[in-house]
Amino acid sequence: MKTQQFFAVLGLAGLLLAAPACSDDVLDDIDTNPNRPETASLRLLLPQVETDAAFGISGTELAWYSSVFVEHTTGVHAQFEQIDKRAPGAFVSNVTNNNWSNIYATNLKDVDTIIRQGSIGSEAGSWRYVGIAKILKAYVLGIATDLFGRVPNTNALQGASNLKPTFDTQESVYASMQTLLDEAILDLDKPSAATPGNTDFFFNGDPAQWKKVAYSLKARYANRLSKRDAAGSATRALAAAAQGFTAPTEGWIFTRFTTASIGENPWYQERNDRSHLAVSTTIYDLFTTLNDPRGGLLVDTIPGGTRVAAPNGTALTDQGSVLYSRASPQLVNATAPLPLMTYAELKFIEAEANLRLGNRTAAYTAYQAAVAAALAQQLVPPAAATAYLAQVSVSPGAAGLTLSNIITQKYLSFFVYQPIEAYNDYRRTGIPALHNPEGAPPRRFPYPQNELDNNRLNVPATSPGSGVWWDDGTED
Amino acid sequence: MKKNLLLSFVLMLTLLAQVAAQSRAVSGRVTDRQNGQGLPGVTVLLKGTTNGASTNADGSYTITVPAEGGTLIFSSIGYASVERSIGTESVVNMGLALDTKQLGEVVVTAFGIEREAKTLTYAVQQVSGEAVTRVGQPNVTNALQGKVAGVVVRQSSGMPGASSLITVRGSRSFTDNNQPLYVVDGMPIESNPAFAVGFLNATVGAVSGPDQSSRALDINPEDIESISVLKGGAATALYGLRASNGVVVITTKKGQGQRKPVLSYSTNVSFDKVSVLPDLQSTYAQGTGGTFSQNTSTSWGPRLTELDPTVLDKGGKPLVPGKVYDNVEPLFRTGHTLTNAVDLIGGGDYGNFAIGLAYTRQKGIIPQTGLDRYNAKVAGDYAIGKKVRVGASANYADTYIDKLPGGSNLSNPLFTTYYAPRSYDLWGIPFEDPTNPNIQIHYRAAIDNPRWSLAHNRFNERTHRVFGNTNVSYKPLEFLTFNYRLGLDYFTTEGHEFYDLGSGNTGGRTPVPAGGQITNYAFTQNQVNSNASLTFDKNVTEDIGLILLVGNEFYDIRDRLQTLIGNGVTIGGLENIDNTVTQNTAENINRRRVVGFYGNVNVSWRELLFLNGSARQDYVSNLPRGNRTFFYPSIGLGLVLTEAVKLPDNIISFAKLRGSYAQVGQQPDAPYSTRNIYLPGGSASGYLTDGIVFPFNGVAALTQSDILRSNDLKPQNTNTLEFGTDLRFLKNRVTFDYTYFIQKSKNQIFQVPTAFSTGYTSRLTNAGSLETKGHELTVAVKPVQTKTIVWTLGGNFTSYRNRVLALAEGVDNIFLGGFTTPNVRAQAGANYPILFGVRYARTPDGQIIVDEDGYPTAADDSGPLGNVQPNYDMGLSNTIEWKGLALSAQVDIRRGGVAYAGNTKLAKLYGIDAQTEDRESDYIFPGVKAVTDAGGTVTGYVPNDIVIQRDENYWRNVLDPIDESHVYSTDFVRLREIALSYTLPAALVTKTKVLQSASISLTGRNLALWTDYPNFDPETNVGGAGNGQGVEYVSLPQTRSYGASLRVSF
Repeated sequence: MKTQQFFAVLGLAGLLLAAPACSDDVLDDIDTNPNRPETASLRLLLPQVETDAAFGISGTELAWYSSVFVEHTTGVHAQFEQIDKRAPGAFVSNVTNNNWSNIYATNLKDVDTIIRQGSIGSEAGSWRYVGIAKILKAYVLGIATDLFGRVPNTNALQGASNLKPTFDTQESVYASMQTLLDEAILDLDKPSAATPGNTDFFFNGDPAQWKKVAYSLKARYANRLSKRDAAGSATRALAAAAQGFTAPTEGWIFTRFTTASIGENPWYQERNDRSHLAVSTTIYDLFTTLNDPRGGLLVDTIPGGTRVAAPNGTALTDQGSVLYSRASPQLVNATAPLPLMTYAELKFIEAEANLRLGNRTAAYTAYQAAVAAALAQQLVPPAAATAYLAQVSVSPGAAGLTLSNIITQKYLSFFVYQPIEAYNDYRRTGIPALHNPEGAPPRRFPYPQNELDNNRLNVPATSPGSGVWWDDGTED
Repeated sequence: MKKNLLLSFVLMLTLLAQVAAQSRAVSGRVTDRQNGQGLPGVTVLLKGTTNGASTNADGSYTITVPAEGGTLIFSSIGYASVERSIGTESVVNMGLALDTKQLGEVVVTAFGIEREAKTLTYAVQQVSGEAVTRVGQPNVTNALQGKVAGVVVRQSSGMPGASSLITVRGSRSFTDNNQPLYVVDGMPIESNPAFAVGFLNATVGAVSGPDQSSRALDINPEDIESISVLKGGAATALYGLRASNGVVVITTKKGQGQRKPVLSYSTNVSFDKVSVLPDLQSTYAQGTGGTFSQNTSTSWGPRLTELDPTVLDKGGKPLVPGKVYDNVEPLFRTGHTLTNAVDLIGGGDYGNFAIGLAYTRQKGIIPQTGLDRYNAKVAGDYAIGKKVRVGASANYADTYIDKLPGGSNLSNPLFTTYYAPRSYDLWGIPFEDPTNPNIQIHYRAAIDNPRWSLAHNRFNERTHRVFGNTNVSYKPLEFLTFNYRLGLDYFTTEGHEFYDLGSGNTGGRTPVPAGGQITNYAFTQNQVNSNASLTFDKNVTEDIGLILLVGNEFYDIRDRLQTLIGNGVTIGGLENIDNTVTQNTAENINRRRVVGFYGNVNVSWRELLFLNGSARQDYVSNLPRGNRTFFYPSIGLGLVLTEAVKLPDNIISFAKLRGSYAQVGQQPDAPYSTRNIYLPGGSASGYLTDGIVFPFNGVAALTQSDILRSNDLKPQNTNTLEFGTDLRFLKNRVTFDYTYFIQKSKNQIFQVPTAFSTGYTSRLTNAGSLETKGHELTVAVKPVQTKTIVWTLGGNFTSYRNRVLALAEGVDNIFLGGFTTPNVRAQAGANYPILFGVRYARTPDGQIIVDEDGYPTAADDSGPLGNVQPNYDMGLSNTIEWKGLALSAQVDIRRGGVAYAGNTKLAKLYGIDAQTEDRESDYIFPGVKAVTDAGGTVTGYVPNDIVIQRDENYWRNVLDPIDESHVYSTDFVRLREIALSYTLPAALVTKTKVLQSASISLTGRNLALWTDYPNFDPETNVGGAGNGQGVEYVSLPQTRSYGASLRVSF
């Protein structure tokens, strides 16, 4: 072969070999991750955000801290004992890092993805998913703002486009939450290209039930602003409640925990892994004073057969559950349901709002329905429930009804799974009276170390004693 | 291959037949003109032909030439070539003189291209194969320690197959790989560990679990002819991205220049013992607060002499007051390393071939550790006609390692052994219940009894590997060569980890044994390398020589890791993964491809001025479209002063100045860094073990990863500026090679933490820069060089400082490894890496402040505890040769770094360290105490005079939390290698008529160590070969070896 020909062929061969090997398409293909998908369908995202809203957000540290603060339980070991005894340095910024990460980096990011993907993205027109996601977003934002005060909302979750999100006022966050719920209600009415089916752990995609959840949450958040606008908050709460849950069988409750070690109820897992929390004397004394059957049903005995509650602030260390009672297995077990909002709560809100407006009769009717529903939900046998309700201390009549009755019964109904709501009510109403000799609980949770490290200029300066906006009117 | 051989053979016969008719035989002897010794391997060529011969061991040769006339050319590397016309003579003797004008050294550079050392404009250092195998070190990376300036090797432990971290000129990347590329016979191969320590619970900088060996372990050291280390950007630029950390070029033995096939056999056996054992106290017994207790882990009990003989120990026998048990020594045994290698090498007109086989076996100093390695190699090179040469080489390696978990792992046998109380008879008391072997008898609750762990748990790994290449070289014209090389590296590593039922690491030490875990993993990697190049090499004018090289390189690496973890062992002792209650599987696939085009130009002017330039353009798969190509050039200049200027010949025989500037890019280690991904869903809490894991309720779910990947990533870039000089004095009796370099790596790709409200916990971005400035010096002196005695002294000196110039905006430090405290990190503005933790509270002038009880206090905030990097590393070698005897020794010196002595910290905490021997006498802590005024403000400091006892409270509560009290200097002086060998003289060898050469030697590795580092060898690291160096924590110890070897060739 002539040398020139040889080289020509060689050069060509080289180019032919090299060119396809390094084309952008080929290289992009090689860099496509074969181990993990780059997109996820709505069907795969929804179960994640629902489960995380019930477990991580509502069922772990944020709830356990609130529980100790509002004296449902007493911390009897490690960090929870330290915050119960108000140890300096126990409830500071590094304590809330994991939960803040869960709220924003895990939950709200996925929720936003569902909303975007279902409205205008790759699965546009999936309004059922969008509606559900908006409800979840309002709920999770609600938890964040109720505990922390000002929180990022309008320019949060934008990744590299905004690395230093600003913190919006609580007032605007609340407005945003109400808007989301309104939009969700409209979205749930639209025809949807795709519907969740069994990937919706709450209602299998039933839009009617979800609308009731949305209205019920609207009532809750409206009522929350009682200190800022007594009459207006009550009116709006009642309007929303009218379209909320209609029967004790309805409610927003997570019932899908399993007996597998990676599927159990979070309070049950806490009991087995750590056992930090014992039943507080505050709530137990309330049960006792009111002759409440729940005192026996929801509180377990200690070895020896008696029930001993732990006094907040002065209890002894007891990780082994030998000194103090825990919540009973009837209440806390592997598959126990975890309520996020109940019919009982809606009725309590109705009662409180009516009372605020002066509608005593309506208030009292709602109150009675609420207590009855709560007892049923907490599995109190009908006979015991009737006996309990017959007492004047529990049923004072329309004329004798006070805010204290309402909020105290609401407080009892929240045992053990809804301490965040109880903590919100305490800050809002001062009910029930708390007994920790080490001092009043903080009125807010500290901003996480992560935001202080990476977004310091936007983090509001707060102190544990200052309330959030709906509490004391100041936007810290 | 066979056909070509046959063809050549027939061709040769025909040629011979023709030649025989009108030819004569010329013979003679070639000697070294200086000492008269015969020179083997000298090429004797009939000028104008390809008819050549090679001298024998004694320098004699025979060549067939035409009956009349002809010129013979005698040439050999290092000697000046001589041409001699031979007229009608039949005996032609020749004396060759050392060529002092040439460096004589041919150095292997990028792509196997051999260049004369004097033409290079950058720093390269060669190590001979003989130096690497002198003391039988089975891992080639470890054998490089102390032999090359600029190269630092840190062995993680002395266990067989333990990984080693090798860096050339320090580090260039905060978190990615900093180890050089290994090239064998022109083809890059995989040399790093496939994954880091503790990978199965993978987190960056893990501190527990069995170590993963580096794949450089598969190379057979006996096969190595020479190693060339290419250090800076200019040297490595042609290799592209993988070579930004330097290149270790390994050339294996080939049969060039030889005629008769030579069969060589070598065997090396050495015995290993543990090199350093801890210093323990021998006064106090098990217990706390001065009281004896059977079940505590600590030795804060009563005096041994005050034990109560009516109390029974855990084995049911009465305590013996005053008896001191040695619990450490019995764990260790004498290990051994045995290597046998055979090779057959031959060459001739047709080409050459090399076949090698080797078997290495190592039994570690702790039972259940060992290494078994089989190596096989076949290689050959054949000439087809005058213009074409084809070659191929194939290597097979099979490595099996038995290992132990190190570090913070509850089944690590050393966790108990080092700290067992002196009153506890660890080796006498039975370690398991006779009725149920999965119930352990041990004074500690959650940790395994070391004897039980050795008897029940198993950790091993087997790698099968094939690597090799084929190449074609075509030389159509005198000055033009076309070369194509295709290489393959394929290996599978299968691992097995078995924690038996009842083992502590799996939480199984409950009254009814529980736990247990079986992990089987398989890692497979396939690497294809293709390299095509065209070289133009011609003197364009009489003065100017030009070498032009252009080429294309392509490589593709695919790997797959499959793991199977079974939890809950059902039947104790049964290692099959079916024998578990739940199983989880995981699979991970990585792929990457790089295509590069490179060019290199070498211009030489009158053999005294050399200009070198290179450029390379790469296209990589793991950067985003639009940012995935990068171009990096280099340029260098070299001036040989001795050619340019007349300098006194007998003083300065050679002087050269060189300088170069180069850029080399670096791609991120991880593929798939550019696009966001979704992970299996779940919900968790830091307080809960399990949380929720999908699939849940029969439904699958995904959640988006919290790490923000970026489509904006750019390649990292390292710029190196290097100056050096090569000086040789007194006819090459003194050589001096110095290089100064400044290296800056910019646009590092790493994970930067972000505010969680952005939706992500961290993001991958380009940020940060790392700078290294350093010196490398290699000196060799021959104080005595006569016919009978040669004495050579050599030294390699390495000193550099890695400094973090900046991290990302708002990021102050990155965690590299270690614990919550202390940890190893990259800190902006500080040396890299830096040890960080709790420090003593000090006055502004550095005195430690004690409190009103006389105890030292801790500073409010954590801070830097010291540099992990040493100020310098030095390797000194001394060789004396006399007649056939040679004595060579290598001493390594390291000065200036520190490490956190985790082992010693625990020993002090437990009250077993020798420092805690004196607990009762008065002691004043060297420091100052504060003087306060009436209001309580501190007005000054006075020397401390408060008397304390160094009792349990002092060690456990006061000093233990202060990390600074456990940081010690890692300075050492070490006798790394020593060998005494005897080589049979040439005269005797020729007499035997069978042998070509024979030598025997006595060897020693790591025989002596002088260091202030307490209790352990300062060269151990729990992070394996990762970037988190500087923390030592219950690592497996180093060894000291004595051995002998024998080499013969026929």
